Amino acid sequence: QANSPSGSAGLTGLIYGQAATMQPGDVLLMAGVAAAAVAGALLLAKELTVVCFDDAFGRTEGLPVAPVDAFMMGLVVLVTIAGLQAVGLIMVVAMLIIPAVSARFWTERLWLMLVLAGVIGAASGYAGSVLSALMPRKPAGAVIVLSSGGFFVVSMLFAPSRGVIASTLRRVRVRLRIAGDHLLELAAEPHAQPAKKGLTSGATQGTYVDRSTIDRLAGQRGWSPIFGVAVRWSLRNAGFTKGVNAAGLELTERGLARGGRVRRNHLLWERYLVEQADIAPSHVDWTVDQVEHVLSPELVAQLESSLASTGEGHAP
Amino acid sequence: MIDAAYDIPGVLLAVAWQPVFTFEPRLDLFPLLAAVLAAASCAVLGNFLVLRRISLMGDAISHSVLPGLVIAFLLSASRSPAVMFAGAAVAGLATVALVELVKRLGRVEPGAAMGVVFSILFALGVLLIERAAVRHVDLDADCVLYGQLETLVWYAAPDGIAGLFSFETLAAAPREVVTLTVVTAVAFAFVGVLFKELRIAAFDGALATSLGFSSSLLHAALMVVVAAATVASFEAVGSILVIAMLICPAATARVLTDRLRIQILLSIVVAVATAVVGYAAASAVPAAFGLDAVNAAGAMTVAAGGALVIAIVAGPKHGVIAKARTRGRLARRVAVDDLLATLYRAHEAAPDGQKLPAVAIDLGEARGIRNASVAIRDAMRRGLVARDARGLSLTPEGFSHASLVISKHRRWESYLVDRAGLAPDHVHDTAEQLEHVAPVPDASGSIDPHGRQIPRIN
Repeated sequence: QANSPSGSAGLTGLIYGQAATMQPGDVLLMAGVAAAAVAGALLLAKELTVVCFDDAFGRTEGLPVAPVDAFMMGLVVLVTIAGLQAVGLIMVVAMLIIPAVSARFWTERLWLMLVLAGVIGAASGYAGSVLSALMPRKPAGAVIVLSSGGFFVVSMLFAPSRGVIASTLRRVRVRLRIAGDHLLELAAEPHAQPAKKGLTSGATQGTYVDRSTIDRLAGQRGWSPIFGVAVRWSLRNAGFTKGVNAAGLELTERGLARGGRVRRNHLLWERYLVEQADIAPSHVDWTVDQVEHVLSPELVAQLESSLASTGEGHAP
Repeated sequence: MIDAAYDIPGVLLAVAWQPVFTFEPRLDLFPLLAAVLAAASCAVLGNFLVLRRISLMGDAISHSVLPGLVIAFLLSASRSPAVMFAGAAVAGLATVALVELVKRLGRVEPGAAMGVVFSILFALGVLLIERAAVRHVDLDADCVLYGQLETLVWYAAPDGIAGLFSFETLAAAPREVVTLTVVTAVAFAFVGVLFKELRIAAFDGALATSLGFSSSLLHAALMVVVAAATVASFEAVGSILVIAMLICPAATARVLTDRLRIQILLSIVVAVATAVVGYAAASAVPAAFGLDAVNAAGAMTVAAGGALVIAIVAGPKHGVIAKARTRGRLARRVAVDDLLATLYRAHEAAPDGQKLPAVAIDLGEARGIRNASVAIRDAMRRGLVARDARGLSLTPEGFSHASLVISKHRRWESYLVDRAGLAPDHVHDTAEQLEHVAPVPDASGSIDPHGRQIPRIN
């Protein structure tokens, strides 16, 4: 750097990019380099995939892992050179990472992720150049990176299965379902059961769950008031309850049936864990709670038959 | 002078024997001091970045402080150090928070999360610089990138050493050096006072949290101090080269030792040494070729990188050379053991009743012994094997050594069959490997799974 006549000016161009002052010849050169990189990646796509996911397996299959790794680094260098003039050195990092991460949110399939990443990268390049041309004195490189950042934020939030919004909604739905099941289970507990989890007998009368019981359950499980309302709403929505009146929360037939089923699963698991899986009885409730909502019908049938064969009593 | 470029030994001699680098306090003291302080503060903090495998975070922080600096300048219209540090601290915290957010919410892997956050923040900073048209103020990115060591001229330099310690001369020291001194002191104090906590959090963050202090708080505090050190070092060595000082001395020390305290001390020593050497070489080496001095910060980075390469290659325990030597020694010992075992087995299978028969060994198929000729030479040199007209034979020492090896092998085979439940035809290869290095189980009987005698060892 100290020995070139242009000194640091040339280097600054390399570091920040000078997209606005590129010549058509430069563009052709960049296009050629980029095409070569894409072709290289596509030609060795299978090998690159194996090395990325499980290089030990690749070695056992006879794949030369180290040369493939070196080839991948070579592609990175090629792509960096191509991007140097557009966005500059420091922000080539952004163009290497952000489109790929954004594409990852949308799909689990690798080939689709590759295509999407390319599309997002191209789109950010286009959007960035257009925006920086419209606004005065904005360096194109920075605007391109910020556009890709915008794509990233949109992908992170709105992607259908891995996006933040979608997975939050999914999580909330599961929590509501589990909480609703706990509530329904209360109605199915027989009146003669001794105090379980601090709930006194007589708390439920047939198809009603009274308010104090619900409140006690809410306190025990740490439901916020909003969550409590949401649980009741989701139960009504699913047709398990009819509504709240003076006697408490009224259950429908379906609600009673579901509560009974959850209760039965609970007892089955309890018995299985104590009798057959050597868990000390004091640990049972906690473990059972996690799984009683997710048993499949086949597993339940299997458990029932195995318990019947060992002569244990049935769940009520 | 053109000839000098081709006369390498002559050049080296010139560099070594002639004082091409003269130390002039007026020109050199403060730049050197600034470089040394920047290197030391970055190195001591960099140890924990390297240990926690978040070296990229050092790169990230040194880039993402840019918007913090610019915004602080825009809001306060001043470039006082306090304002700059406030901006840097906020930017550092924001980086940490955003990286965690992206990692958790988006389930993105840590390196990618850091890359996403810092490049977007850096782009934001570049945009803000242009927008505020501050390139005419000294906040321009060139200075931030390369530093301006050479401009730290000390106009009020005294004539003698005694004058160094008077208050007036010290008060006239460049602002950058004062800032660096303070920040270096803060960095050392941070690492010194919180050493135990930093150490636990670096190796096992969950354990640290379970012991009662928040490892994420510690992480955030570390990042803030790193941000402060990078900002203070910007004006000395520039941002791109701060990353080198954060990583290289710590990595060099890591390769040279396995003890944390020694590693930290070593990293400081390496950092200071490479800073001084780089600074001297920046003017000395080109001068020997008749060229102008190069950028001092760049030379220091090259020196730091060179130190790392030397440590990787020549390090006493983990260095490439040391490991190759250890591996070679082990391979040769294993080859000799295998040779002796082969001879012993041949002796067992020999029909004659001689105690030490000579056995002809075909060098080409030495039963899978690699480099059989080397093994035979080693064994003969150690007096374990003798060669005569009929072939090779075991000497008495060789016989007892071979008995030991065979005993270990067969004891392992017995153990694997009796205790580990392996089938008898699966145990030979495993025992072949275990016999050389692993502690050997006691013999449970005197016959191995293949019906052969286990030699008794006194």
